[in-house]
Amino acid sequence: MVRRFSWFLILFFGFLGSLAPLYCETSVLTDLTFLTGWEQKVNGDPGLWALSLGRLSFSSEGNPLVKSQLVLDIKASDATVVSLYKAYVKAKLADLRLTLGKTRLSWGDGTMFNAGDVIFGSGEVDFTADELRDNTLWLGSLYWGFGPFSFVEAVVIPPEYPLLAQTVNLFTSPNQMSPPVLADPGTTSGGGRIYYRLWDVKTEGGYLFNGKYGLHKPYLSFQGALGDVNIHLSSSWDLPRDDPLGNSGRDSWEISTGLFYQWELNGGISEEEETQSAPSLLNLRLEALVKPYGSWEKIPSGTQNDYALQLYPEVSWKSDTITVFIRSLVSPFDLSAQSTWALQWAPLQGFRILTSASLQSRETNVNGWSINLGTRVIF
Amino acid sequence: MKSIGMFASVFFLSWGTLIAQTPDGESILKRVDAAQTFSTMKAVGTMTITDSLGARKTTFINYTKGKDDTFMEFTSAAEKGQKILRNAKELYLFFPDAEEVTRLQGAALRQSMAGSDISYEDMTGTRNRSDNYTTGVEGSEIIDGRDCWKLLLTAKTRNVAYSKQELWVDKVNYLPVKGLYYALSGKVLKELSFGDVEKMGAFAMSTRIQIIDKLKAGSKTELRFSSIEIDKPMDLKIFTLENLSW
Repeated sequence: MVRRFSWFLILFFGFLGSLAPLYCETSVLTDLTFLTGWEQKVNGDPGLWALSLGRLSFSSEGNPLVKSQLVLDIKASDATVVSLYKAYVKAKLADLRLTLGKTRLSWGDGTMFNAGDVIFGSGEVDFTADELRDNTLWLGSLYWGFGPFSFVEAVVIPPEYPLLAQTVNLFTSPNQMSPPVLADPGTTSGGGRIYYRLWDVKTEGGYLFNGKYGLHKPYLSFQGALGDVNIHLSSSWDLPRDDPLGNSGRDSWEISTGLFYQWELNGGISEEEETQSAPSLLNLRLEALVKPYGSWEKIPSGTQNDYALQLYPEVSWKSDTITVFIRSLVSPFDLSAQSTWALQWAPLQGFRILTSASLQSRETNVNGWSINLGTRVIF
Repeated sequence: MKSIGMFASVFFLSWGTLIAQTPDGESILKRVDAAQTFSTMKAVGTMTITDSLGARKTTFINYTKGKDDTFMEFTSAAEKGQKILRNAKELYLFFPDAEEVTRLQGAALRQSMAGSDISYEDMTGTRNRSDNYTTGVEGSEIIDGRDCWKLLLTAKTRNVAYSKQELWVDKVNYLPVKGLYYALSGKVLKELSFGDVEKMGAFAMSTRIQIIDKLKAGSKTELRFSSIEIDKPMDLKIFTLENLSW
């Protein structure tokens, strides 16, 4: 299977390459980040670390009906690791859009908590990142828009091949390759969603069968506004294939909700707003993840995932060159929290100076902290 | 008595002529909106933000349909692939790394564009001013050699970015020449100047707009449009979520 998959990769990249002679316009984007930090972990000595991150993106241009992108991530610290972040082709076939390759689909709503994201779930995030959730996987999808703001989308996610996580030498002859690893076709995942606007409320419903874990994952997601406050609400279940109505399915019920308010500090009509010295934007966000059958009280060796409620407050302030934000993940029952304060300054086009500080705490105890400094350049 | 009658006749005749020559503010503003509203428009935009640290340039392609619909795609490196779809009630943002469409309503419609002195309302709300403001004519003035009506616009609701606008409008083509945007306190927030009028068939358009934020010393934003296509056939699927997430 490894051999077969290598040939699949060769064919896939060959297909991407074959587009080049037809539409030679390719845009290249480079994103470099250099970071250094001082950190203290639980029961450990404080230490200094340094890290360089690079992202190299090649995007096809020119053909309005075909779009492809290849994005490589390079991470260099004590070792240098190259990984494939995205490699996909999209094609418009009449009213349908076909997507094949390694990319991302964003289902549901929510910055930190999104019960509607039945594809990627809510794993760990980097609080200093521009986009908290941007992980990708190999998939095929079909998209059909049936109105300006309505569409249906189907997705198939192939079984996870161990090869996908390995470094592959594409020039190795088939005879020199390691023995094939067979993937179980039964671990293929697939599903779909419908997205439409019901009056002023974005309404989304979908389902994914997760073949790897044998789970049926239905979800519903709504987004709208009350006055100037944007609100979202999503709900999902992980129902085991063998016993969908059992306790395990019931316990998996998740509800995520959030409020978002954006305040233009000088452009508004009120007198208070115009007293600011420069135009800026204040964003207030509060999200919650509720697991109705989780623990509603403190448990001795519980983790944040065991509890019925987690909160994500975020405050950010943006001017044209400066961004300041505080992001926290709070578990109210055991009073544990992770918080990141960040200040980013973009004095020149494409160039940012990054500073941040993070703190992990439980009740009154500090479990770890770090202070980070870096630069980022995009060209 | 005869002379009084003659004086009265001349007075009312002159006054009547004067009234006939000065259209009311509402009708001028409707013509201003009409002069800037196209069934469709496509333009390549360059936004240059200049402050004490230097200049930063953002490029984008802008599509508009009627009064309310706008689609923008950023093409400069730092923002490449970010897209915005806006209509009267909603703002949809697309972030390419996350492949995510974010829908916003309410106050988010008034936010500034890519860190500039221009709000989305400056970009798109200027085409429906007559719906949101009551208008009076303050007189005539010559601005940059152009004979202009001076209008005073007062907001009808709080759902607009500026409580009051002073607008100087070219009497010939009804394009804005200069604007002063005020906060409720009476303080000037932004000064806009419009120039480089280009004629495209039956239409005329200012291709250079300079915005000075009066609350931010030494900062200005200049918007230039090129490759302008007005009322040309356009695929209306541009203004859809399908195109936003493409």
